[in-house]
Amino acid sequence: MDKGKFVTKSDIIGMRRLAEDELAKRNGIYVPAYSPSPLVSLESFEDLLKKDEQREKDGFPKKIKIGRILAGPGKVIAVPYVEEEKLIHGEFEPKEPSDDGNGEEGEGGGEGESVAGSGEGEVGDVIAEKSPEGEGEGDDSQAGDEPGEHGIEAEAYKIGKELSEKFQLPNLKDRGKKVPTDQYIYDLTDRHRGSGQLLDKKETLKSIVKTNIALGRLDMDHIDTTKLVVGPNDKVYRVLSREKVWKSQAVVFFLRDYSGSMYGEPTKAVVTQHLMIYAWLLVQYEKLVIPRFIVHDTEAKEITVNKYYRASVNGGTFIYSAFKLVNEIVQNEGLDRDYNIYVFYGSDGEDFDDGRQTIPEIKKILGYTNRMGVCVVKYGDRESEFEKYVKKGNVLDNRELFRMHAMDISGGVTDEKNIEAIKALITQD
Amino acid sequence: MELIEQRTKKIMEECRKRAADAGLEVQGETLEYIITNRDMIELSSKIMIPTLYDYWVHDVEVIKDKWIYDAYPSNPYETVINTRPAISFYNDNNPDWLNVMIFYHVLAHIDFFQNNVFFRKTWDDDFCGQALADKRLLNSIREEMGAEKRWVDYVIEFARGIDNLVGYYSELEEADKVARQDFFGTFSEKSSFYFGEFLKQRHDEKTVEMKFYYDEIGRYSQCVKQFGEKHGEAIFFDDYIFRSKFPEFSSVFEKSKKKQRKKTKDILQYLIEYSELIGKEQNNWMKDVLGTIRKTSLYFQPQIRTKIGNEGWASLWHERLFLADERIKGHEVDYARVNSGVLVDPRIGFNPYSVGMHLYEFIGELARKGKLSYGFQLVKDSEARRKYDEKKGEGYARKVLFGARKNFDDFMLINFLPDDDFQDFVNKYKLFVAGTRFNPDKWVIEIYIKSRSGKAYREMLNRYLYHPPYVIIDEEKAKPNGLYLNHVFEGRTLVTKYIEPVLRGLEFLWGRGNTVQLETTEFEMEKKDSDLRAWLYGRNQDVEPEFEKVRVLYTVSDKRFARIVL
Repeated sequence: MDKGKFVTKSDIIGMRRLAEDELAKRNGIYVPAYSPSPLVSLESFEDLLKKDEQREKDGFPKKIKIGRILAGPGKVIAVPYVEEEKLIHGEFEPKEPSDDGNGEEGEGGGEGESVAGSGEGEVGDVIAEKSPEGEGEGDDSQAGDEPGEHGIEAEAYKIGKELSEKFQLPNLKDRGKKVPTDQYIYDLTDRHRGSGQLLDKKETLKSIVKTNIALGRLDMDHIDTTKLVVGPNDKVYRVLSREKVWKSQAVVFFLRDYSGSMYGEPTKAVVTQHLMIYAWLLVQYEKLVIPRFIVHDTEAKEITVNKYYRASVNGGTFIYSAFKLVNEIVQNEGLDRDYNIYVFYGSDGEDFDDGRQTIPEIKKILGYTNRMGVCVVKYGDRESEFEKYVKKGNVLDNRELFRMHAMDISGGVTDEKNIEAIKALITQD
Repeated sequence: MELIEQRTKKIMEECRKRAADAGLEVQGETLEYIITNRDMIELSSKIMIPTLYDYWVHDVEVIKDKWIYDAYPSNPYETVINTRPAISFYNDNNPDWLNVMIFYHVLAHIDFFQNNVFFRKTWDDDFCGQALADKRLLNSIREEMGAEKRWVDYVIEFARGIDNLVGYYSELEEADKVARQDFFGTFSEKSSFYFGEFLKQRHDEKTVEMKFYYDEIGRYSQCVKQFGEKHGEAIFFDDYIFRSKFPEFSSVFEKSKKKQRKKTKDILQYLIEYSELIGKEQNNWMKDVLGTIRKTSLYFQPQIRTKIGNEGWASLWHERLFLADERIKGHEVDYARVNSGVLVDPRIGFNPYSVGMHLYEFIGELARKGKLSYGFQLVKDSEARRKYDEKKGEGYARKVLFGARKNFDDFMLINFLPDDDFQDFVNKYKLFVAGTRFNPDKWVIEIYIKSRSGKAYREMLNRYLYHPPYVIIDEEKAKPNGLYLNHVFEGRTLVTKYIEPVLRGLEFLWGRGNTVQLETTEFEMEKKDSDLRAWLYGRNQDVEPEFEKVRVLYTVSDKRFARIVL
């Protein structure tokens, strides 16, 4: 497929900025986004959070942010960080809109960054190439470089509990399909006549009465219990029975758009939200959650959890490719039989399709999923392509199965906005 | 952390002698400490000053914005602090010969610190000692406040929000005035006001002619000659023609004196003097805190603005001195390996060490060949320029070089050469400006040589230089008891998302209930949003978005934050 056709200007801007950032990191006078210290904090996590809460009581906005990275199934690295706010010059300089001009304030494009160099070559010579595909670093301020060194490793499950408490995330009412597991429990539930561990008095009595009625010894009007006979099979006992445990499990698909236009803040928002949702699901399903990660530009592919965080931006946008892949996986592996399926997707909504391919795929997903949540991350509140055709496609009516939330990140990505988005996607009303 | 051993210290002393012979001027004692890697890392959050005041944020990961320069060289081998006596740190893994090389580098740094005029205000200070005293002061305040000690950290936080805006140049100006006075003899305030401002203003307003100005100067010198310095001035101003022409002079002068007294050098100082909250007696400790932060920030200002020059200077000398030192015999290859790591000109990227060094070398060479003269500027033919050599000699070259070290900060170092000379510089060291572009056929981002023009390279260097926003206090526009800040637009907008927290902090420091406002410039889209989206997302690729500059006013009052377009 001619990938080049489906690339927008903003995609190109994103890819260029990624390349420039990496160049700057490796060669220039780039100051790293954070100064690493071997001690994450002299005070523990809880103390820091308490300090933050105190700030609110004193009348100041919170300051500590926590960057969380999913390092493996169930393992999360959490790094507290702080941004020092000062009045400083930003990067936005729309002097020459000929180069690019991602029209947002502050975080915007401005002129393409020039980099210095030295050595031989004529003007116009290409001296290096950077393929946007491949091992890019995820993001600057998400402490992505060496998380193992600075972060606190925590269980995602615990994070899930913290989040659920702190932000009052809802609990699932019905966890749907249950699957027998390998566990057994023993309980005194079976009945056995004649012998056993515990005498079930009520049943025994019922049985005795039945026997005696059959023998004609029981007078309905004058019940004389001393005259009742106890037959050998009348005693009913309860015995231990071995039962398989049935638990509900979930498979959650995390999809994200990694076209160039998602560079920077949009990706940060989506990835953070997905992590939080994963943690919450772990709590809901008592850790029986299998996450699957898919990224897409004009094509979709499934990748590992590490790469999900770090995958740099690539090309254009064809949203339906991601949904198609989900459908294929579910069908090929027969997942909808045994698992509760969840699908969460994040994108900036700018698609080259007008819905005719995407809507059918979405409807297919809704056929077997417990919940599908889409977060559209954008600057400002203008409607994106995706939102438009979703509205036309009659998918929004089904609130139990499908949720869409538009998130405006013009002022920056904050924990509050992320939580708001998540709640919109997971609540059951 | 421990002092280096005697044997090594002797080697250092020998280095110092040779450096002095070469012309470097390092006064006073120097202290050298050996530290481990871990120490280095711990110190780095305190910007290598072990006695810097405690602030809890130092222990958490701090995200710094890209444009804030590191105040210190990122060279892990050495670090030197500008204080009296000069202190330097050495990694405990270094072999002897490496320490010799590093010591030359350090000596050159110290020479730079002690002789460059931009460091003028730090020449007498034992900064580490002062920092220690400040740190203890802050800790004792925290102790006194007991349970409420978190307010100390709040004040530190809010003060740090504006500590990059300290009045570094105002401080230098004041120091200059004092120096100037010694230079030109006593030219009293009154006379300097008369000639410097009063007459000048009237000349601008066209009520006074240039001839009159010169006549007045003549008259002044005459009075002084006739009646001596003291009386001459009194008689000058007593003259009845003068008094009839400018009857308002004395009152205008008095008013200006009053205004001058009020002029504070930066926002922090303004807060200390005039803030309602800080003025309260129980809050006097805040003055100490703000003072400490201001002092610390001022201390680092010259370093941030001379990074290229400083590193270039140090690299230049360590190379020259080290290679001339016979004690390195046997280690030439090791040296080359280490040196190349630090001083290489990267294919893509910018190395301040090497560019600084090249600039100095180049200036030295220009001087030696007599190219720093007007005559040379008139030569335009490139062959002639190359061959031009007046052979001014080594002595002259050195004089120029040391003069540059004394008087230039980064901006001047980069910009003082005229365009043609700078083009020669760029050509000699094969420097260029690289750009990025997307190649849809190959599906890669290409980095290509955008330009070899000296002008373009210089412009790019200038963009990398450190420059905080220029924010001034406007008392007239302020609401009653309010604080009004004016960000004078110099071509770059502020980072929007930080404005609110900084202003909220200022609201607290200024006193709740009073309005704090910041006026700045932003860009808004002229045409409607749909055009931008169309352009960005591919439908209509031809329409370029246009932006218009607007003045915007941010206000914080009673904890409410608002933004309006003026």
